[in-house]
Amino acid sequence: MINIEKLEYHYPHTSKPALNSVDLHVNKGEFILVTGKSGCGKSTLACTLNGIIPHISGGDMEGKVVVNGKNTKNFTVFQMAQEVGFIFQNPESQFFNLQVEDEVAFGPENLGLDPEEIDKRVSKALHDVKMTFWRKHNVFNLSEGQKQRVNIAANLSLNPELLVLDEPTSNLDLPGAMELFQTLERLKNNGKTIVLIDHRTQHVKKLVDRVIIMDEGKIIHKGGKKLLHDPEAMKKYSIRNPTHLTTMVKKFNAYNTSNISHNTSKVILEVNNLSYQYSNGFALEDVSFTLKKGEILGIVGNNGSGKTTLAKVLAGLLKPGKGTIIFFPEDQGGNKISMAHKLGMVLQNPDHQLFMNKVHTELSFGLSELGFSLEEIESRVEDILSSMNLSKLRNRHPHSLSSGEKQRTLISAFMTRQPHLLILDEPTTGMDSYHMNQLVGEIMKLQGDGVSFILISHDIEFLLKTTHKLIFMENGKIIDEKLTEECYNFTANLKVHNHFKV
Amino acid sequence: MFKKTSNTGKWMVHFGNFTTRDLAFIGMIVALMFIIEMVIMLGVAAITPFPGAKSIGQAFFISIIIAVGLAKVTKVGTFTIIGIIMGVVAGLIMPAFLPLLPAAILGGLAADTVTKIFYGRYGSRNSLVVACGVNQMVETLLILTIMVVFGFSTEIINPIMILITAILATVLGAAGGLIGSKIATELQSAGAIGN
Amino acid sequence: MNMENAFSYNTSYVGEDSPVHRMDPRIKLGLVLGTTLLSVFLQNVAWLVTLVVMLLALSAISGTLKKMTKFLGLFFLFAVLTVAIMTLLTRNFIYSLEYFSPFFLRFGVMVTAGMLFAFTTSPNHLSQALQKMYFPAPLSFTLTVTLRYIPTLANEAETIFNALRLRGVYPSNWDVIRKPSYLYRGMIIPLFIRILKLSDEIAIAAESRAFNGGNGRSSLKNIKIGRNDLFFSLTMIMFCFVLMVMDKGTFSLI
Repeated sequence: MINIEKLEYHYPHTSKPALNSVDLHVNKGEFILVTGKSGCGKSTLACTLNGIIPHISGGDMEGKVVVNGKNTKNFTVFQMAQEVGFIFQNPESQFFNLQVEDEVAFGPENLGLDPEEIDKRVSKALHDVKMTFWRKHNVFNLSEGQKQRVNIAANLSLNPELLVLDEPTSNLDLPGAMELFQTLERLKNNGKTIVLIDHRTQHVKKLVDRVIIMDEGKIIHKGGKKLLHDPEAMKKYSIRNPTHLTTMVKKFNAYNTSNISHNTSKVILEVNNLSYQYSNGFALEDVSFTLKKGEILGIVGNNGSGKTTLAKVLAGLLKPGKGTIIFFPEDQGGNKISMAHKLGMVLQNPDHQLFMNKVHTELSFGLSELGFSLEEIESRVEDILSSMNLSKLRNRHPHSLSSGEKQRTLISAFMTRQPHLLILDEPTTGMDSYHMNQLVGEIMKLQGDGVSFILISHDIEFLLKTTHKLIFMENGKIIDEKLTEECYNFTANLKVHNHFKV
Repeated sequence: MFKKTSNTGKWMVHFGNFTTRDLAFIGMIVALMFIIEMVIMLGVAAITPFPGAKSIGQAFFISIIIAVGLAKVTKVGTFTIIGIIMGVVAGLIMPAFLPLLPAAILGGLAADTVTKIFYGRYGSRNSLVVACGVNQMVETLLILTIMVVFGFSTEIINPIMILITAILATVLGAAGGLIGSKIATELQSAGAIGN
Repeated sequence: MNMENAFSYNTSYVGEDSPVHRMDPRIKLGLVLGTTLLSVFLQNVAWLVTLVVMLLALSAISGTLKKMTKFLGLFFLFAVLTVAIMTLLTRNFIYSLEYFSPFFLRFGVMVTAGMLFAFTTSPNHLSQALQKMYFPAPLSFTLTVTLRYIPTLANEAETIFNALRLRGVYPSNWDVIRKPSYLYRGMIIPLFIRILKLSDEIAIAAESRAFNGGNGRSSLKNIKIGRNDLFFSLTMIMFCFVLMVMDKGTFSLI
């Protein structure tokens, strides 16, 4: 099905190869998992399969990629479309139409087929992903998992033999991811060849035939599915593997609780009966909790459970309809402290939040608005640059950094304001285990300095490693609150999954 | 680009040298222009009876965006495409002001023609400044003239007023083009626009 | 500030249906052009009002009247302000009203007809209709992208604005004048970075699904001019003709 020989590829204007002497042979009907650290070249490899590389991305490509008998050098992307279906991370940004059936019909329409044939293909594709019921619905009203299935159907309608999925689960909550893998299982049974690019491995163990591990543009390991059950190999190649958390979590928890075990820390935030209502009817209802100095709180819930809304209300981006948010309830006049000094919040996508053309000016952006003198700004920025390990990058353009570095820059930008609380919204989206552990380290270090955190995430592994306390949300309400230690036992019993509605 | 060829018996215009990437990018640029135009219209035009106010208010900001679009795509014809799409959107959909359709198309066409003659392609700072200036001039002149045809008070719009407004819009448009070329340079350093 | 809501009119078609929605977009386009031209031709305020009322009745049938009132209200405010200012200048209310009413009524005809078209025609139908009218296929794709991504971009802009606020920068009108770099740094650069990334993703997604410049595309749902469309056009032509004749045959009512 796929035959790759001596593939080498350079992105435009770069000297380091993104792919280096890659050889790969995939048989029809196989399910291949390609994994590895961020930036290892796995997405680049995926892009060569339908000719996005070199036809759209440009750059220099050496070697040969043949898919279903077609050499990608001689066929453009739209000519390859009937051989390869390509599913991306974020389906919503790639929908061209509003209605599910129109979206699925987009491919066959491009081929110029007649309406009856298109209709037949749309019905079949929707049936294959079990979305027939939603045929006439608006794509924007679907859940993330359903959107991703529509996306798959939109590719299936072109009848490709090969499906390539590039990190399809990174925006999905647990139920969404489960639905997706059930769909993939059906497609595998129907005889499709599937190449999955992902660094999360917990769901695919059952389906996968072969595992390919990449690093620095090379394939460094090929193996069977046994590899995914080998904790040593997983650690060596920094692959995410939440079922082997036992030792790690215990270690981290011991470290965490020692810091706040005395319960003498001051309460820095008290939230009482908070409510908020959107115009579309979705509401946050009666949310109450407290947060202590140096405490790390995790907020867990499926997509649309109200986690991000809660964070936005806390950060002052939305005005609460009812209830109170009190900072430093034990101090009189605590609310006089400026908002920026109270808390910082890092939103999900760094692209929205980086404004300046150098890392060091990014850190000082807006500080003058808070009434600091120039010398003060200078010294703070220098402190943070060195403590957050950014000195080397100080003159780089923030948008040219890798996503992990961007996030570090952002956290640093808030640290210059010396906030008491940092809120991070889905900080580990698309992160491999190496970068996640780095982030965990950064959080722990700041927590040691007395900063409290609210972490919004559906990444269980990340939350278990960092938090002291977890709040579970559903439909805008807090449905449960637990110490992380208790939850760890839950995971062992798989009971924690109840909170994710599997 | 405007070469007409007979293909399967139908007459159609060829946009062969525009890649899907270019077309998608232009689409996004127009979407952004539209948002800014709406904000300006609700903010500026609603509080003044002088219809030229909108032209002046938007000239600068719209030109910044167009200039970045031109700097990325570089092909002559880009401005016309922007004009056509913007014209259809603003003329037929929102604010559904039909005269914007011919004005936007002719404005884009004029800018493309001038660029074709003097620069060959978009890219240099001067080409962006001139193109944005020309576009604003033609568009403003047309819009205001059409308003007169519609029976708008000639005490508020008279030929001298139209001329002054057009000159102002041209200067602001050119200034927007200048800022736009600066932004394009920075985007290049961020690695977001290739050379 | 909910930007997404303000621009959500073209993501809300699915599920809406009425005789006006089902009409061929080309007929509706003809209605927009026809009524606009007619409004320039008509001199009498009464018949201009009749034309506006007819268009409002059509939008009431299509169930989009409520959506429209928000925009028509703004337009009305604009008209009232203009007349008020003119009254202040000339100190003659009746004169100002007489002077401006035909203009604003023509304007009103055009805007109402345009919105009727916009609110009852899905982007998909619009691009199909344009294609049938020999609108170049690649541009049809660009138009689809524009219409589809206006709400998305508005949302992106809102997120960027939120990120600015989180950094303690609240760009008000005054701040922008005092420090234009906030607008430049804070909005324009991040928005362009997003636009560049999104448009690349769109292009790749389109080509991965066999999009080739749009030439030779077919369609799942073909639009065609049916009996209802013809009946409607005939009624409209007759209606407009009557208005024209009446306009020529009467004296000004005011």
